[in-house]
Amino acid sequence: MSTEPKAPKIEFPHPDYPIKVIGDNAHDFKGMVVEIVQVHAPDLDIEQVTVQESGNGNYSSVRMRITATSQEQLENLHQDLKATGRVKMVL
Amino acid sequence: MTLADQLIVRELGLQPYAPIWQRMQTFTNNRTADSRDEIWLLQHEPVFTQGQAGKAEHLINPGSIPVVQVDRGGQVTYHGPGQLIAYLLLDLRRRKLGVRDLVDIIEQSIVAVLADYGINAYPKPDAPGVYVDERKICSLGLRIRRGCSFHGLALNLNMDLEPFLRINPCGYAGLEMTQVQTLVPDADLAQLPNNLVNYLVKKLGYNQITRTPILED
Repeated sequence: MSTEPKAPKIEFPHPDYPIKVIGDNAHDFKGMVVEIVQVHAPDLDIEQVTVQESGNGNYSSVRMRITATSQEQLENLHQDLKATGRVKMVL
Repeated sequence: MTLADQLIVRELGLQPYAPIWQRMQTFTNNRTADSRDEIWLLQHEPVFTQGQAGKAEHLINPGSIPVVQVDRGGQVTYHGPGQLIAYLLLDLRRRKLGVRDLVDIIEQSIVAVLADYGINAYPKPDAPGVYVDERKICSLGLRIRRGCSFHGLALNLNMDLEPFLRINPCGYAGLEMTQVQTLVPDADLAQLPNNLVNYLVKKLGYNQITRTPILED
């Protein structure tokens, strides 16, 4: 077995952890994303959440920063976003 | 029958905010795969609760009502006697529910229980909670930790709505609140909490319910 150390993982808690959620452009997409993220990361500052549309207007990208508290938190958040069926990608 | 399909409903009456909030956190932090899900039904003594990222500017004039900084998202809200609180302490992963599923189930259950009183309520796609004629009747504020939900819903029944005027409820200036008694003055509210639980239980899929007035240690 190799004992070579793996690349350092994220250290928790990790303040200002950036999240980008991409999905179909719709008027309520941001609201839905914020609602889900807030449940997992209550320190989310809604006023700092930004939305960008793709060049052709088909997609919308919602960006924000949270305090990441554990890998489990990030995985649950990711699962809940994907489970909506409206999220293409979480970065 | 497995533990996962059992639910404990605790009917706790009028309670101060802070001790219940602490019990809810302790329960969630200590629960295991052998813990049954629980719903706590209660009313709170007057209190403003401010979400973790809540803006102080939305708290206009709290007066003598205490303000508690809490560990949920969202902005400031008010709780007081005459408002039904339901805290949902559920292992969502075990029930295979996403947070969006739970929000939908709660909102649909509120709509259903109000429809029994002839009230036409509806959720909004881009804001949590349930509304009647653009006025808010039920607020939602959930938190997930370790795959389990806590906090829950606050449904206005027959309360003093004046304290909501001292804040921008949920961060929205001018958001008006309403309640069951305003809409249906002669409503008999005695069975409403029970009816709400029945709708929630049906949609969440539990098959054994234990009711108790006790908050166990």
